[in-house]
Amino acid sequence: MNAVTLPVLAAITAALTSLTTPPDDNSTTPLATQTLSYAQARHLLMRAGFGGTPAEIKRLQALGVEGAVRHLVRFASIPTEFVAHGVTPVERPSREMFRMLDEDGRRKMRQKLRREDSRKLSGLRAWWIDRMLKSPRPFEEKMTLFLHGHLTSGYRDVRNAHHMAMQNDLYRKHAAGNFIELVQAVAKDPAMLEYLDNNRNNRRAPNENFARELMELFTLGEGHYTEKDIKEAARAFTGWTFHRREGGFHFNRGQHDFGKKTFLGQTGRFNGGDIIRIIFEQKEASQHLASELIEFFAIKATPSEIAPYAEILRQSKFDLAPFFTTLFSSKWFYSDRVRGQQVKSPVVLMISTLRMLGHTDLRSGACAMLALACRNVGQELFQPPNVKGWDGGAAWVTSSNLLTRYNMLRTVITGNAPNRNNMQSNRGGSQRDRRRNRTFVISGSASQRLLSELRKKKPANSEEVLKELEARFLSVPLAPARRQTLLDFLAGADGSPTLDLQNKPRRWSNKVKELLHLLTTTPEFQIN
Amino acid sequence: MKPETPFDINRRNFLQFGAIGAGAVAIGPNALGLRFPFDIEMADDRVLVIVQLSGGNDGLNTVVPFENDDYHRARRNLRQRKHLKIADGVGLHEKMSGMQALFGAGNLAIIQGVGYPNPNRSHFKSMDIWHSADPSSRAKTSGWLGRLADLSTAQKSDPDFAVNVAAQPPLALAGKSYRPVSFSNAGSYRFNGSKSQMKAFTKVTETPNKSSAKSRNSVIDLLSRTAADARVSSDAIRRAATSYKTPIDYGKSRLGHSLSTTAALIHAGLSTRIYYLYHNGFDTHVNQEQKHSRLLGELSASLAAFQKDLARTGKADKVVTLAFSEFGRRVKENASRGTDHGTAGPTFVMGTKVKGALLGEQPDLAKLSKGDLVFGTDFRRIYASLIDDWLGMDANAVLGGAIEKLPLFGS
Repeated sequence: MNAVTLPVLAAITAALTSLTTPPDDNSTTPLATQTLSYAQARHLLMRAGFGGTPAEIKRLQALGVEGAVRHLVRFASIPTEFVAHGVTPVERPSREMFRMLDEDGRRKMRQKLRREDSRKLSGLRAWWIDRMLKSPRPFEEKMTLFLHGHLTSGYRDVRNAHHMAMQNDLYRKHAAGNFIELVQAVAKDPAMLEYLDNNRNNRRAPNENFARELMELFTLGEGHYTEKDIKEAARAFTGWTFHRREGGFHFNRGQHDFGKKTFLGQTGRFNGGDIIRIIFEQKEASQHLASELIEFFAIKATPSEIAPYAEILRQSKFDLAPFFTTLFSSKWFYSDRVRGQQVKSPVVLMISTLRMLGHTDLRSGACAMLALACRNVGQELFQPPNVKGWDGGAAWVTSSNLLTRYNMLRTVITGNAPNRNNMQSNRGGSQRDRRRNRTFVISGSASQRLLSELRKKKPANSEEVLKELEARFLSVPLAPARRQTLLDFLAGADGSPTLDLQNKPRRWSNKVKELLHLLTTTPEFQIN
Repeated sequence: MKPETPFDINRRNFLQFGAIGAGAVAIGPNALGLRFPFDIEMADDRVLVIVQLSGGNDGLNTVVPFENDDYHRARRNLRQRKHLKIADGVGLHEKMSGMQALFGAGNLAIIQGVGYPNPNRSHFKSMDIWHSADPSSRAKTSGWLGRLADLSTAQKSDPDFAVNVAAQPPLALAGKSYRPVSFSNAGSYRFNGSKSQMKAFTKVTETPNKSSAKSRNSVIDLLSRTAADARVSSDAIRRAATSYKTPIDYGKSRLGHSLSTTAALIHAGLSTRIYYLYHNGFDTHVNQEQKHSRLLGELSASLAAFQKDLARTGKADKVVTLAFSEFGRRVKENASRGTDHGTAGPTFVMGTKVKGALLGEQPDLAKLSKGDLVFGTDFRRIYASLIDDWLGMDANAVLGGAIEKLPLFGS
């Protein structure tokens, strides 16, 4: 493209934009140009995925707005060679064999099965962490993480790693698909049926747990239905259960209530599928989903910011791709209203730090330790605190969680094992956990690659070193006072060694590692 | 969920409360302008220590109905032959001499047969019910102490209001806005940095500067405020814990260690009102005798040491301790010399200001429900008394309705 056509093209684009853009900007108004700045591309990769190295950000930037958003959201064409998690059901002894055991034998057998199952869950956790670190389709994993927190189930109640794995597969499969189809599938998902007691929901004694949370948390939000609606919906889901041995959904006709139900103003011999269909005919369903998605991917928004996105969901009949294409192309998404306004969740913090460091090839033991690290700052995968999922936002920020975050990041950056407190579990941890805690090293130091790249650039002074780190790790500029503190640290203001390229590489690296660790303690590092 | 009430009262079946009805105490002492029962002292330096006996403590072998034939029949192997008598037909487990002495001195209330309607035998579900103070089948999202912290810190912000001595906070401490301080070891509740980093770390986490406030980024403000809190509070807590010297022997158990840390922090004058501690391992399905003896011995000895230490530092009148478990165990022992998950059990409230007594009825062993004890006292009555009469806060607001209190305090 030569120098003459560029301005012409730009003028045409501007003219077209002014024609198609309504005079009043709202939260869906597209960006004025098709080009992305580096900072915008960085923000997009961070929010739609888990961030990346400067090289990855530049590749995304080169695609322009439309190309970059399509690349992330319509990821199906990107090949992924990921090996499936391979979590299979724990093999249970036959009923006859079980009956032959005495009480003590049965107890031991149950214990053995439980242990085996929980080992499988640890494997699943490590597998997912690995996938989030490496996947060439980061949006798919980010969306799966959203769905895990939104349509939540927890292992503590489900007690079946295979079912948790099935649910994880289900969420990944529908990550950029149709939300109504997903909810229809979730209502038949064994982990969900167990988690919200629908396997105990029968026509003689309806259990309302699933029906209530389906409306309150998953689809409509509190206040858009009555207690009577919950009772009627519960009746429609009676007999929806799963095969304990074979796995998979099972409709138990004998337990189902085939009678007439009146739900949200409609009357008929409804089953669970009808209930979900009727729910998504309500305007509130689109508002609720838009609000939840925007909170996770952007900010906790106002009703007027949410409204146009709810409209997009209604128009697309809850296909998610148009929603995300609009959001990730909007001026609003890249404005200061959104940028730098989100506290990183523990999973995002750990995964993005490693992705930004370009250090994503971890052994499975290290992946398991990352999962443990996330648990220790309040986000245990496959075990959200309750059916609401993780509160997120300000809830991540507690005094003890902050210190633990800094200490975890130190481990990631320097490779030095943390002290025991930070790796200890709530219940004191198993012997095994404790043994592993002492040897928690993420394949040496994850910052090695960054350091050698940085040294090769021969930064002239401390200022340049800090600039490189800021560009890589921060979404917003450092507050001047904190910036000065870090420069003083590099200058050896407190009598510590000065940063100097003349230093031996090891000494130089140690100083930069310490700087990077200090950078993680700034508020600017903890947000995106 | 409605923001103004912790949960929907309509959903809860108050008729199942038994004793609760027209006679419920609807007007708290605060409404009368009194700090019952100690109307001279200010209530806001009073401390509540929670000891969670996780796993389901076997109540029948803790507070033993040693004259009951049904007990001896149901527990052929596991019955407590030796016991420490505290009342007619009632004895404590033989290892509980420390608590026997506290009971004798009038500093220990033992509430028998504590539980709730439609008992749940899952550890997690039952623990969630105790933590949330909500026995309905509804999913739980906040805890009674978290809601209490919300109420208190709404008026006066205090990050140290509640201290949880474990890596992650329990549901009991989950509020809508309040988040407790959590650590499993006070000595290592700290920023892990090299010596040369410390000065810079202190400056980086200094109270927010004005230019960042101007940037309108409230998230940065929250993070810098909390980071400053974390540095200051971790320094204070670590110093208080590591500098504390006591001649009292707390034993070697984790609970003993947590209690001595708690005594240290109380002694240091921290503003903390709630401490949450753990004594784990009560899930005694197999070979219960030895394990249960050890656990009760540790509980009794470390609680007695704690009380003695508080008396030594002059803080005994400021502290009340509650020890509870999510459920008791089945009346009939199993074939593995253990017991399985059950229902009601005894709960303990300790302190010099507590009216030491045996409260509540021992459930009738001849009238079991599916082989389990039937509760007589709703656990929320204990919470109501602790909130109203000890902490001087509004139990109705925390528990979502008026609940009749127990006479745990006063003369």
